[in-house]
Amino acid sequence: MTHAKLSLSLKNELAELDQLSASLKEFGATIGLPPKILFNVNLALEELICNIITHGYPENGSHQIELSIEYRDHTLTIFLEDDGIPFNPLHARCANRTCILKKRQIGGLGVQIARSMMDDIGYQRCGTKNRLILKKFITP
Amino acid sequence: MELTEKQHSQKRVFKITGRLDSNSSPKFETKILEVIQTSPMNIILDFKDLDYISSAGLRVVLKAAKRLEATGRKLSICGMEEYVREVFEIAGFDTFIDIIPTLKEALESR
Repeated sequence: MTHAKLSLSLKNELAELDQLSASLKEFGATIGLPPKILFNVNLALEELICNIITHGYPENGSHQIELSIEYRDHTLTIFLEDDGIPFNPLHARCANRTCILKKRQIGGLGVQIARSMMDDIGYQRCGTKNRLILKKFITP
Repeated sequence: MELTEKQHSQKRVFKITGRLDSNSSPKFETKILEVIQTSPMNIILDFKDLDYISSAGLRVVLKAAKRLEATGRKLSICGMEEYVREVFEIAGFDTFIDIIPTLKEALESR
């Protein structure tokens, strides 16, 4: 298959991450995605969506997070959009990887992992929405 | 995620099967911290059948490693699959946790 698309609307609840994994697995099977790429994409999206759910809505409430994944020309292009408070993960401070155990903190790790898993990440603030555009190239 | 815990040669071995993500990690955290509190032994995590780990799982591993270090004990992890290993390296966790190829070698180590 040379072209396929997946669109998902997820509630801002951690339990939705199971739905994300299941949908990605199914989509991956449809397009013959290598297992490593599926792992990378699932992990990057979990980390970014987790951040949105945990930090994007200080006033809580029920919100939808919109995800679309397009596969074309051996490239996955992913749009992730939420209506939470302005947050650009590309500006987030990365975790200190060289710190000794006693001083290690977990903050910033999710974003660092997401950035390592994808080939490109871009951010836009569009009106009241945060939008991330991620790319993963799949070598044939 | 399935979690089993056994004792082998003076060490507690946790075998985790499946995924350690935001939903499954809390259960792992509760169990491992309880064991760290109640047992004086070193701990081995058997990741042979662990397919996936996110920062939620890493958070628990870090917490466990810190608690063990505070009491002079060690955390080792064996059987890590390639993709999981890569996540540990990205996070820099390979600098303070013993990553050992097999359970057998982990049990034999000090």
